[in-house]
Amino acid sequence: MAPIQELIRGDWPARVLAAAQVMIATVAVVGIAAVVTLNPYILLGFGAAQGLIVIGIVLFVIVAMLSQRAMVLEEFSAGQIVFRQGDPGHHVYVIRSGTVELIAEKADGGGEIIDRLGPGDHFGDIALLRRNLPRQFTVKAATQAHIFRISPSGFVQLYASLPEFREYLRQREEPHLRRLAAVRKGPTQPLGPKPPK
Amino acid sequence: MFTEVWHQMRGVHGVFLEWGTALEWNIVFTFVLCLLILCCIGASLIVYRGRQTEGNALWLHLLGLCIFPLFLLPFGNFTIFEYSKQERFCASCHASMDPYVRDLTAPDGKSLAATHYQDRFAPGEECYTCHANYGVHGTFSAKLLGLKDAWRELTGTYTVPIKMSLPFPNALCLKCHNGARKFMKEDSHTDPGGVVARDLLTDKTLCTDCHVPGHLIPGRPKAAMKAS
Ligand code: HEC
Ligand code: HEC
Ligand code: HEC
Ligand code: HEC
Repeated sequence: MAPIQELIRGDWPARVLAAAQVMIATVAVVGIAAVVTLNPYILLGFGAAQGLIVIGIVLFVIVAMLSQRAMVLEEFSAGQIVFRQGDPGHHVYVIRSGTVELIAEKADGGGEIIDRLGPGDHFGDIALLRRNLPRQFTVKAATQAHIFRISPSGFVQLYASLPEFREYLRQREEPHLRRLAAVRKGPTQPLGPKPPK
Repeated sequence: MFTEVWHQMRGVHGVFLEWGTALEWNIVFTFVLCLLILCCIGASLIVYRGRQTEGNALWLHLLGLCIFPLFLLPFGNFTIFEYSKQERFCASCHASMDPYVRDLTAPDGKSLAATHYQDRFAPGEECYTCHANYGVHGTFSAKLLGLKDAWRELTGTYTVPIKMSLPFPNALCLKCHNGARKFMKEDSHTDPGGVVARDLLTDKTLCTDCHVPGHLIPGRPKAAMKAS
C-alpha cells in the first residue's frame, strides 16, 4: 500500500506523462526503423507497438484532464517527505493542518532545519517564481499534515494579478534564502542544485 | 548504391512503376509522423523541463502525444498491411522464401507462379495475390501461422521442403478465373449446364491435380509437391 501512496502523491501526473512520452517515442523510433529498413521483424514489432500508442494517448488525456485541477489536498504522515532538495517541480504548497520542517541538506550528507511551518503557511514558491531552479530545500512532515498542492498556473495567476500578494511572497522568501546561504556558507544567488554526496 | 536503392523502391524486377503508390505515400507519411512525434517530445523535454504538465507544455503534448499519434495509427497500419502484400516483403526472408521468388521470376519458368508472373497479373504483389489467405491478411489462424513462420525463419528451425499445413484452396484461384471466358470454355472445369464443377468449388479436385504445380522448386521431388 505504501509504495502506491508514494506513487500517487506528489507530482504523479508528471510521471504518467513521462510514461506516455516513453511509450509513444518508442513506437516512433521503431516506426522509423521499420520504414527505413523495411525489415519484416521490425515491421512486425511496429505493428505490435501500435498498442502502445493507444495506451500513451489515454495516459496523456488523463494527465491533461487532471492538470486542469488547480488544487489538490494531500495527506502526509509524520516523517514523510513532501519533496527533496534538488528535485524538479513547480507546485506550491499551502499547509492546512500539521507542521512541516524545511531542511537544508549539506554536502556532508547532514541536514539543518532552517524553518518550521504550520497551518496557513506556504512553501515551494521559490522554484516556481525563480524559473528553472530546482527545489532549494527538503520539506518533511514533522507531524501528520494535510497540505494543499496548488498548480503552478493557478498560483501564477494570483501572483500576476495581486501586487500585495507578490510583496508578501517576497518578504516570506527572503529569510529562507538568507538562512539557506548561511547554512551553505555561499553567496545568496544563484542557488545551485543539491550538492553531490 | 543510391540509385540501386532508389530502383528497388520504384520498380520490381524491371517492371518500372511510377513513384507515388498509396504504399509509398504511406511510408513517407509514417516516417514524417514519427519524426514529428520525436521532435515534439524532444522539444517539450528541453523547453518545458520540470514543468511538463503545465500551461503551454500541454499544447505541445497535444500535438506530440495525441494528434500525431492518432494519425500515425492508420498510416502505420496501412503501411504494414500494404507492405506485407509486396513480393519484396516475402522475399525479405531470403533463406526460406528465396527459391519461391526465383521460381516466380524465372523468365522461362513453367510453374503456375512463373506463368502468372509472365502475364504481369499483379505487379509487385504476386505472392500475396495467390496466397491471399496467408500471413497478416488472413484469418486469425493465418496470422498465427505467419508469426510461427517468422519465428522459424528467425531461429532457422523450418524444414525443407516447406510443406503447406493446409492444401491450397481452389477459391484462391477461382476468385480470378471463375466466370472468365478461357476458364469456362474448358469442359473439364464445368458440370453439365455450363456451371463451374461442384468438385472444384468444394476442393474435391484441386486445380494442381491437372495443372502444373504452383511452384517448381529445383531439387525438390514432385511427390513432395503433390503431398502438400
Ligand atoms: C519472416 C520470414 C518470412 C516471410 C516475410 C514470409 N515467409 Fe513464408 N514462410 C517462412 C518460413 C520459415 C516458412 C516455413 C514454415 C515451416 O515449414 O515450418 C514459410 C512458409 C510459407 C508457406 C507454407 C506455409 C503453410 O504452412 O501453409 C507459404 C504459403 C508461404 N510461406 C508464403 C509466403 C508469402 C506469400 C509471403 C509474403 C506475403 C511470405 N511467405 C513471407 C518465412 C517467411
Ligand atoms: C499462381 C499463383 C501463385 C503465385 C503467384 C505464388 N504461389 Fe506459392 N503456391 C501456389 C500454389 C497453388 C501452391 C500449392 C502447392 C502446389 O500446388 O504446388 C503454393 C505453395 C507455396 C508454398 C508452400 C510450399 C510448396 O511448395 O507447396 C510456399 C512457401 C509458397 N507457395 C510461396 C510463394 C512465394 C514466396 C511466392 C512469391 C514469390 C508465391 N508462392 C507465389 C500458387 C502461387
Ligand atoms: C489475381 C488473379 C489470378 C489468380 C489468383 C490466379 N490466376 Fe491464373 N491467370 C490469371 C490471369 C490474368 C491469367 C492470364 C490470362 C488467361 O490466360 O486467362 C491467368 C492464367 C492462368 C492459366 C493459363 C496459364 C498459361 O498461360 O499457360 C492457368 C492454367 C491458370 N491461370 C491457373 C490458375 C490457378 C491454378 C490458380 C490458383 C493457384 C490461379 N490461376 C490463380 C489470373 C489469376
Ligand atoms: C480435371 C482436370 C482440370 C482441373 C481440375 C482444372 N483444370 Fe484448368 N484446364 C484443364 C484442361 C484440360 C485445360 C485445357 C488445356 C490447357 O490449355 O492447358 C485447362 C485450361 C485452363 C485454363 C485456360 C488456359 C488457357 O491458356 O487457355 C485456365 C485459366 C484454367 N484451366 C484454370 C483452372 C483453375 C483455376 C482450376 C481450379 C479451379 C482448374 N483449371 C482446374 C484441366 C483442368
